[in-house]
Amino acid sequence: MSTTLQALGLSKSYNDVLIVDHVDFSAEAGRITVIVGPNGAGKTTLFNCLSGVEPIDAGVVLHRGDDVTGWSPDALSRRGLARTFQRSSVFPTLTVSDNLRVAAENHGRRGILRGVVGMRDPGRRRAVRTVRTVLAELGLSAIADVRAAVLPSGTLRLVELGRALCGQPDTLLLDEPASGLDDAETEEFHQLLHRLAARELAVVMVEHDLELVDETADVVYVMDAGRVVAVGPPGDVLGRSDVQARLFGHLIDRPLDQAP
Amino acid sequence: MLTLELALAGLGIGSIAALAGLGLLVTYRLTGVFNLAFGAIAMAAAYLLWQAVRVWHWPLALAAVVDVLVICPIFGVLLERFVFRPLQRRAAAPAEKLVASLGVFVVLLGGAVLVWGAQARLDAPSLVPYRQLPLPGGVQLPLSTVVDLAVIIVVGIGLALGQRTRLGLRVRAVVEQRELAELQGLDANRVAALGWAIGSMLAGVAGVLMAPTLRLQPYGLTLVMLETMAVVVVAQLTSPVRAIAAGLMVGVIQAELARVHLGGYSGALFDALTANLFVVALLVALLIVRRLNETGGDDAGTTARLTTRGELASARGWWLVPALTLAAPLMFNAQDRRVALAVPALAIVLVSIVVVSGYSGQISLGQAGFAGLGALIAARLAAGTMPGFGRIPGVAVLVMVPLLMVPIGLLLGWPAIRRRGLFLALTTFAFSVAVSRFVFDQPSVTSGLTVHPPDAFGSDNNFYVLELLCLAAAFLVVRNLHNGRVGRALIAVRDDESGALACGVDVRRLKLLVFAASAALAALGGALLAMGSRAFDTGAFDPTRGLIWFAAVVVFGIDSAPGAVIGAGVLVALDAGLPQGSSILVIGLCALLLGRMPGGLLHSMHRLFDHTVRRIAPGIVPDVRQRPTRAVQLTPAGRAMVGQLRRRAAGGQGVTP
Ligand SMILES: Nc1ncnc2c1ncn2[C@@H]1O[C@H](COP(=O)(O)OP(=O)(O)OP(=O)(O)O)[C@@H](O)[C@H]1O
Ligand SMILES: [Mg+2]
Repeated sequence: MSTTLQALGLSKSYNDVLIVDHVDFSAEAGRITVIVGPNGAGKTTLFNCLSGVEPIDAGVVLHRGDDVTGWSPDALSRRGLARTFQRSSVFPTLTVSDNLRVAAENHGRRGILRGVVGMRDPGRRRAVRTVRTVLAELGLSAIADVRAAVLPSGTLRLVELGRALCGQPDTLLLDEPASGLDDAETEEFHQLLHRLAARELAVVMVEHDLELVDETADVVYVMDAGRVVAVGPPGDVLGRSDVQARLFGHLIDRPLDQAP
Repeated sequence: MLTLELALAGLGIGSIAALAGLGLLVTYRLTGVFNLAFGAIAMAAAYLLWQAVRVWHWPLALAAVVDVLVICPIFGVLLERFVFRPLQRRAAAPAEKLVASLGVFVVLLGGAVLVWGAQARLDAPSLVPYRQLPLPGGVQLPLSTVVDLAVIIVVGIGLALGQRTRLGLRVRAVVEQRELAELQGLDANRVAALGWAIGSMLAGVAGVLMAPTLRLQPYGLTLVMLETMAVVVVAQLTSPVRAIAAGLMVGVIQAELARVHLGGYSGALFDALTANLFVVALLVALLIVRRLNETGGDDAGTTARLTTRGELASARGWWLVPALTLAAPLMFNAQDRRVALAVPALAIVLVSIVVVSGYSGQISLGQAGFAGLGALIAARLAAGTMPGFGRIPGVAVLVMVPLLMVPIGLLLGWPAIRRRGLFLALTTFAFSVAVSRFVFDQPSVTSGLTVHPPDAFGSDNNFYVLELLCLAAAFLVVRNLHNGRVGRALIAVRDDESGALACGVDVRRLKLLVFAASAALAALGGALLAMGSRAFDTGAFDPTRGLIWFAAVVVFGIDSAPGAVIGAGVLVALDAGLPQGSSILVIGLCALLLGRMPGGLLHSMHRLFDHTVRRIAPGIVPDVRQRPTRAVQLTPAGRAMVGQLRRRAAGGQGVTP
């Protein structure tokens, strides 16, 4: 068991409001780590800090033991830290397979320079193979040549997941990947997550459906108002009354101390 | 030491600039459209006044009132109703609205050249008689300054009061949240119309007041008015007070500096900086300001919505049209062929816009600057007067020009990395204005320059063939950038930048390279353009040219390189066959219609053709919209999904949460 991604004392504020508040976080290879929390808890912002999309105010981010604080998102992605977004970021003009191909190819410094001057890509074969494998794995082969613009949102989620997988990551950050999927698809999706974890990937995801979390998660982080308020196996954490109050308190609108 | 007299003179110009800026600001805040046409509206208003007073002999006061208080606001309302409301209704992207305002700009400019000609007139009627008011202490105060200041004070107070009224508050609601305000029963269209009316009126006032201090000339006056954009950038598109302050300050500093005289080369540079202080302010502000407070979402950035988005596979034989366009001049008579020399050169310039704005989605309005620099460098290299270089013989010049341009392109690409959408558009435009003012307009740089085709290609026929070779080379570069790996990455950046980053695309480097490639192409095109016309004409590389070229590229399909070739052919042909200004007018009118032809003129024709043929003779043309899918073994998840896709297609609804 090894830690692929780790954050210590991570803080981020917008307009002097702390959105992520001294968060310690770690993702283990081969495990499914789920972050839960009410809307606005800062889950997406935490992802943005981990993946380099937003600069952080304080703290350290380690990837495979190296300090990667302040790295750009594309550099982190090439290092093996892949992510998806809460709002789809699929490229609508490209076909499904080209969407994946962008992630499978080398678009780092050397890759781009070689491409612009028209040199052949040495990794071309491998990229094509990776794309084909991932498409088959996600069941997207049938729509490989369809433009993403015409696909429904549930399918776009899968495409985005496939894109993340094409970079051959060791860590996957998935922001609400199951939203927009129906029951059957959600079930499929779970199987997939377990297969990925079995391949020693560290899977991290934000998820609202607690039943689903209970079934899949190895570790649950509960976030509220920017802080991690509980960490542990789902069985231990999700049943705790204070956690339930934080997760549902907003819905039933009851003060904390009266929560069940 | 400051002198009061100069400061007062500066306040006059400053308040006109502030006025123009306020108009721009009001329109932007009330409609979310950055009205690039405001400079052209100001110019048109000035010309209308000239026409009424000098030609129709109306009384000055009447003409001014009708022009500024009636015609300008009505024009604004018409713009809202017929150009921008349809765009608003279909939730057009900010880039589309920017192009529409560019269309208005181009139409007005083309119309003005067509009606009034491109020559300068010195007799713009002055609203304020020339009189000096003596102040205590022997200081003379021009009456015009008093009037200019009074106007800006009145307008400023009016706007400030207007914001406090109930209507003002509701207007703010519309601007912040259009849908919400509409739910509350506020007529967003009326508010937008108001914004356009006020904005056009203020532009008109500024134009009428500014014209007498300059010459009346379509391009020149428009450009000067555009330069006052500096004021709005300093105000970060938000604060009217800052806009006014910036306008007055730049005006005063300019007047004060005009007194200082230095000798020699640095003196000339200093004079140029002083005379164009608004350009300096615009450039500095754009480089210093961190962000503009743009309305609308953060996907405001790219031109993705202007492209065809891969909707139709390109038809077979499509290349024949541009190929024929290019081949035809080889059979022309000598005179027509001379005219046609501009086609391949212009095509290269337009293709450079396709590369940066169509493929990678970054709006660049500054290509005229690169093209002009290319022409300049070519002329100097051939003459042996390029600092640091000896005389470069013949065709080698055409190789050197793009290579020398790469670093300059990287230089502009640097600020462009962090800027998107409107911010980027303004920055690139400011670059070309600066190049025009500080390089092309400097006699020490451009006077006595001669350009001619390389010796071995002196005859028109040979030069045309050389141009075609250059175009072919350009297309090789373009192919690298559009097909394959880099092409995919560029489309990814255009469609969704954060998605591209997440895929590991080094977006910064990619953008830099694209800017450099585009600059090199534009420079090559500019050099050929100048060689073909055998003159370095600064007017050919005026910043307003860059705007017209951009509009033309959008019209002919922003992501279509063949479209750029056809566009160049059409532009040159129209210019040769019709009165001056008509080609610009046509481009402008097409740009205004873009709302109805997404993807550009050619793409729309293609779609129409496709549609018609399939209607008349189904089965003859394959349905290119849906490419055939491969038969494969499906996993259970795949089967479930395909089933769902079918069901959804049948039911016509998605399962969005
Ligand atoms: N760029 C930003 N500027 C200012 N505030 C921001 C920004 N991004 C997020 N916030 C604020 O940070 C808080 C946390 O947002 P975040 O998107 O991280 O929450 P979340 O836990 O992902 O919520 P959800 O479950 O709705 O996705 C919110 O209150 C949001 O308004
Ligand atoms: Mg979120």
